[in-house]
Amino acid sequence: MKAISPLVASVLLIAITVAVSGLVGLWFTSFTRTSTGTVSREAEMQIACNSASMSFSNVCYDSQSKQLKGYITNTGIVNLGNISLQLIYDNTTSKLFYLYYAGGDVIASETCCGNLTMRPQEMFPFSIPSDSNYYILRVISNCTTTGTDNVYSYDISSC
Amino acid sequence: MLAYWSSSFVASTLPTKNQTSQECNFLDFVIEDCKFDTATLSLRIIVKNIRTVTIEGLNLQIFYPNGTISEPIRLEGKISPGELKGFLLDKSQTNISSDFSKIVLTSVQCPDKSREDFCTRV
Repeated sequence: MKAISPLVASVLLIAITVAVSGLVGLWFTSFTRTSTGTVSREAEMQIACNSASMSFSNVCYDSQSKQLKGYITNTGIVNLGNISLQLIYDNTTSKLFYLYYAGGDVIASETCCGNLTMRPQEMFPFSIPSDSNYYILRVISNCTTTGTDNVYSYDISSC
Repeated sequence: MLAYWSSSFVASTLPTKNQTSQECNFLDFVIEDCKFDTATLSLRIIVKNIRTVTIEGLNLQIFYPNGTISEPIRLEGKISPGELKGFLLDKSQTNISSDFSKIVLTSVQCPDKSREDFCTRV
């Protein structure tokens, strides 16, 4: 029985080592890229949203039309999008209203998803149907941590 | 064969572990409101998702001054980023007694994320 020559053995060993390192290197590169990509996107969003802020004003309940009315203002210094209003009732059930901008008016719809965007200091009126047992009204934007505001029933007057 | 098994095990397990660990970095919530009705012994909890990962579910535990802790009670329902979710629990669900000291909510998918509240008695 003849063995392979030392030269061929060395070449084979080097080739296998290079191939395996290449494969591991490729996997590691793509794994690192995916991992850092997610963290980077989240970090960018957090930085942008640090300057985001939203607030309610003049919120009142019209018992005749059974509507909650008021204004939302982008009180931060960045544009906000995906704006929606969430209503929590006393019995903890909730409703989500997506805000659309159409023909100069802001329309609230339970159909996903709204197209309303707000520039800094921009203010829009809203009006949403509600039973009188509302508890918390919340505005949510794409900046889910900072571009939000709540108003409780005890801060809502009659229209 | 061992090499094949170990490489496929690492390839399938590591991304899941990594995703969970990454998700948990971006998951957080606060107890926006907690009220305990002393007449009906019902508990109303409002939870706010304050980060960018959807909360899949929460476990509630009730603590008593004598050191006893209730069994975890699963609060079902997803909470999307930025949204609120309310839970209204009556005595049959919690078996709560009015002398409880605090409640603790723990995320199901990230058990290291928990919040406590002493709840307002009404």
